[in-house]
Amino acid sequence: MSKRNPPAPTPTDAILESISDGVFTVDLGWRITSFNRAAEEITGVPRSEALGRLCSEVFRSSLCGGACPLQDTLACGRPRIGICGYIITAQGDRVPISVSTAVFRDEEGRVMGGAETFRDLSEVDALKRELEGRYHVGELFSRSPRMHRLFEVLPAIAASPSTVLVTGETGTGKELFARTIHDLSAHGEGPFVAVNCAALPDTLLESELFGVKAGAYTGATRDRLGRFAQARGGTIFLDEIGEISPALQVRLLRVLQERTFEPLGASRTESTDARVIVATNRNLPELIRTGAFREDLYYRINVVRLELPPLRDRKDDLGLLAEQFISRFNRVQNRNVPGISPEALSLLMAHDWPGNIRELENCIERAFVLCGDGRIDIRHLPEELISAVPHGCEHASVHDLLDRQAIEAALERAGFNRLAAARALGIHKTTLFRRMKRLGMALPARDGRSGPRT
Amino acid sequence: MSRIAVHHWQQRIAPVFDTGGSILVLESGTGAREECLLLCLKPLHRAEELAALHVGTLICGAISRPMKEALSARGISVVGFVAGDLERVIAAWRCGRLDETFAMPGCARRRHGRRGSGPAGGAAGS
Repeated sequence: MSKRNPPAPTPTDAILESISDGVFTVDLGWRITSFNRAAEEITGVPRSEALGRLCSEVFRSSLCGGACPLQDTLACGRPRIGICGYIITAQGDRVPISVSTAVFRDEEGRVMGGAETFRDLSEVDALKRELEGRYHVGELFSRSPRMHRLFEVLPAIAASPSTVLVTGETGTGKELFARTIHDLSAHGEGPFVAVNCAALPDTLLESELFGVKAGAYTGATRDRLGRFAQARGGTIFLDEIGEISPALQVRLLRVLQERTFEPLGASRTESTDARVIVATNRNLPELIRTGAFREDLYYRINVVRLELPPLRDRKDDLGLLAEQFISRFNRVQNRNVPGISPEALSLLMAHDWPGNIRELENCIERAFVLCGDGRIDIRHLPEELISAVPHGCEHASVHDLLDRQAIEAALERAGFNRLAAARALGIHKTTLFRRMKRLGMALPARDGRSGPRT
Repeated sequence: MSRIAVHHWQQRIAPVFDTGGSILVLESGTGAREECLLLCLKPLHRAEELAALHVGTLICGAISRPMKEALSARGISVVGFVAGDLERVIAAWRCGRLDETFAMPGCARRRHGRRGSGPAGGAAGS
C-alpha cells in the first residue's frame, strides 16, 4: 500500500506558521479545525491534542463562557479587536493575552466558523509593571525626576537607624514620606507614632511625648504611656519640630543622644529604641540664627535630610496625583467618577498650588461633590482656579494662560533677553513676538540685550 | 467535609474555575444535589465560600496555581483540568474511572476517582 504524502502547505499556512501571534479556527460546533505553531507555544497544547476538541477546553481563557468574543462575532458578524484576558496553562500559570476575532468564510462566502488570534502579553505586562514601579515607592507616586532621586535613596535610608529630617512646604506629604521610610524599614511591622508638635502647648506636649506617672500632678491618677514609649520597636514621627520650646528642645536632645527619657513624675529613667523622623516647613538655620532653635539639636536631627519639592516644581505629577485622588475618592465614597477633563487638568497646571498636595486633594474632593458621576470639568473646580482664566472657560483660553506663564517665566530666566527666551522655548524670536502679540502681552520694559529702557 | 463540588457550564465541566459560575454540590453518600453560584473571585474568599458549603473535593477545569493553593490550604482537594460531559464525569468519578480520557488537551493526568484516586499531573491537580 502506498503512503499518501501530506498536502503541501499553502502560502497562508506558511504565513500562519511563521507569525508570533497564536491563531486557531473553529467550526460551527466550536471544535478546533486549525491551530498554528504560536498557538501551541502560548497555550502549551500540542496541535495534535487541540484539533477536533472544543475551543474553550483547549484555550482555557478567562473570556471563555459568557464573555466569549468569538461567540459574539459569530452572532453579529462583527470582528472584536484587542480584548484582554488571560489563559491558564497546564502548570496553573495565568498568561495575559489580547484576543481578536473574525468570521471565517469559505470561497463562496458561507460562514464556516470563526477565527481567533491571540497575543501573549506577558512581556508587555512585565514592562508595564516595571515602568509603574519606577513611578512609586509604597504609597508615594511621582513622575518627577526630583522625586525619583528621593525614591532611589529611600530604601537605603529606611535600612539605616539614623534620625531623618524631612523638610518641605506645608502640604508636600512629609508624613507620608516618614510613613514610607517606616514601612520599608526593618521595624515596618512595629508601630508608627505621629505627633504634631505645633498642635499642643509646651507642657502638654512634654507629657504627651514622655508620659506621666500617677501623682505627677493633680488629676494624674494613673500612669500614662508617652509617645516615645508607644513607639518602641517602631518609629516616632515629630512633625513641626521647629515649633517646640527651648526647654523641650533640651529634653529632646537628650533622648536623641542617650536614647533615654524620664516620664513626668518618674524617679527612674526609661529607654527607647524608636527610630526618630522629624519634619518641619520652617527654615531651621534661620531659626538658629535668631536663637529660636538649638544648634546642637539641629546637628543631631540633621543626619539624613530629605527636602520635598513643592507641587509647583513637579507639575508633571498633577495628572498622576489627580488620578490617585479620584481613584481613592471613588473607592471611599463608592462613586464612579471616570476622571478629569483635559481642560480642567490644564487649569490645574496653570495654578501655583501654595497649599501643595493637600490643596490639590481638597480641590478634587470639592469637585467630587459637584460632578455627579461625570468627569471632573472646569466648572467643578474652585473659583480661585477658574478666575485665573482671563476670557471665559474655553479650552483655548486655558492654553493661552499656560502659554503666557511659560513666556513670562522664560523671559525672566533669560534676564529679559528675548532672543534667549525664544531659544529656551524652542521657537524663533519672531514667533515669540507674534505669540506675545496674540496673547495681548506687552513687551517687557527691560530688554536683556540693551539694559533697562528709560 | 464529604461533599463534592463540580464546576460546570452548559452541561459540561466549565473551562476555567477562576472566573466563577455555577457548581453542582453532591452529597457523597446520598447523592443529593444542590446547585450553587460562586460569587467570590479572590482565591481565599473562594476557598471560604466552598468551605462554607462543606465541600471536601472540587472537580473543575483549568485552575490557576494561587486558586488551587488557597483551596488546598482550606483542606479542599482539587481535581483540576478535567473536561467532558457533566454527567459522564460524575459517573466516572463515582466508579473511580475519572482517567486521562477526561483530561483537558495538553494536561496529561493520572487516574482519578472515588476509589483509587491519585494526584493529577500538572501543578493544579491534587
